Amino acid sequence: MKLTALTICSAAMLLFSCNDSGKDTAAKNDDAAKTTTPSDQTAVKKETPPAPAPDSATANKNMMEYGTPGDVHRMMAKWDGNWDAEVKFWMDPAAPPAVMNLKTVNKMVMNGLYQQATSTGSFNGMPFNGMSTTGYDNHRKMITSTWVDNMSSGIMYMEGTWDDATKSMNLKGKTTDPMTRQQNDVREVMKIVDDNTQVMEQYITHDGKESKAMEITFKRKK
Amino acid sequence: MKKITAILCLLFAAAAVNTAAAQDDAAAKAWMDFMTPGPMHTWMAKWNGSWEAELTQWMPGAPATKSKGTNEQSSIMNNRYTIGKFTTTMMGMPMQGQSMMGYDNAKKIFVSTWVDNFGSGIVYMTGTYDEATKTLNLKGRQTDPITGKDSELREEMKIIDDNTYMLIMYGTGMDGVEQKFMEGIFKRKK
Repeated sequence: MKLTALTICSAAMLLFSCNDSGKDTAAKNDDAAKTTTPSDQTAVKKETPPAPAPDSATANKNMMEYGTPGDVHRMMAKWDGNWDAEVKFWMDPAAPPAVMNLKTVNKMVMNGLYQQATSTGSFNGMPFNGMSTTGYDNHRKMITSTWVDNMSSGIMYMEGTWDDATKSMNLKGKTTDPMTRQQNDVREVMKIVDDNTQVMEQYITHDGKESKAMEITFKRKK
Repeated sequence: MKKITAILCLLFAAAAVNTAAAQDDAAAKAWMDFMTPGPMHTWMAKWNGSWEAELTQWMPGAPATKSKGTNEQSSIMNNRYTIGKFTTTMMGMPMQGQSMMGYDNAKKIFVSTWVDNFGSGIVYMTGTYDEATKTLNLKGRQTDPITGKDSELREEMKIIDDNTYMLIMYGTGMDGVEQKFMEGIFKRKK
């Protein structure tokens, strides 16, 4: 707990002296924040027209297919292991990025259906922990992923496609800016360069303008 | 990753810039409020421990089936999130699932995810706790394992007492009608 308190104190002190470009938008987005629905997922209702119920053999087959790891899962399993991650992040797209180093451990869980990745490191002496879970939904043919870390309290949920031609996953989601409470669009491209190298780029849209916020280069630990 | 970006950017900016202003105080407070575990996180941690469950499941066009289950709940990241490791049997096969729950201080809602070895999707739900009925009400979407369609999902966690809670799951089928498909009573392992 002492460490937490220290972390929080140093975060507070640092934050007091910083300039956040998003603060200008705080006032004008106040109304938008008030009307934000509790769930950004349920906000998008999809029409599902009635269809005849599948017979029991089809139902069983569909359920089996849904829970059986496939090619994308087997590909993700190849990423298991220990990685060194170099994280670059930009507050001002015109300025040079800051750099942080993380250690990431990838491990398939639940019978090879999901990859759990835990990342640890520190920045300015503050400990950092993050965890992601990435799956591939066999029915919807979509990559789905969640992210949590010790410097927030939300869960970021993203989904998107796997593109075999470019060996990349393209994920999209929304996340809350704690300063403005505005829901911002976030996009990630994870490119599998080779068996031992991956590059993740993250883009965030502020006020309709997208800019690169982060780039992580993962290299497999030798 | 966006959140890390944001905080790391702020921290980095702090190293370079020194302009204290009222707005910065507000921004700092907003972030501190966002990342600091509060009463809801303390509430979540109350349910840490080992649980035994009596479960009833309903499959379309089949009689209800009963099974036993266990749930091991623990906190990670200084109580920010609760991980539940759940086991039971379903259709005669061992089932394992993992829940993760948080309370988003900025949105003031509970956020929750679920994965298991019977499916390949990730369920993401959000909701609120109702003190009057002592029920956590979560709503989200799931991929229907049978039809493959994106469909609505709802969960109620009813607190009976410190050592007992109920979990009730509802799904909305192709006919647009919501149906209960799972109900469990969880008792703390003695």
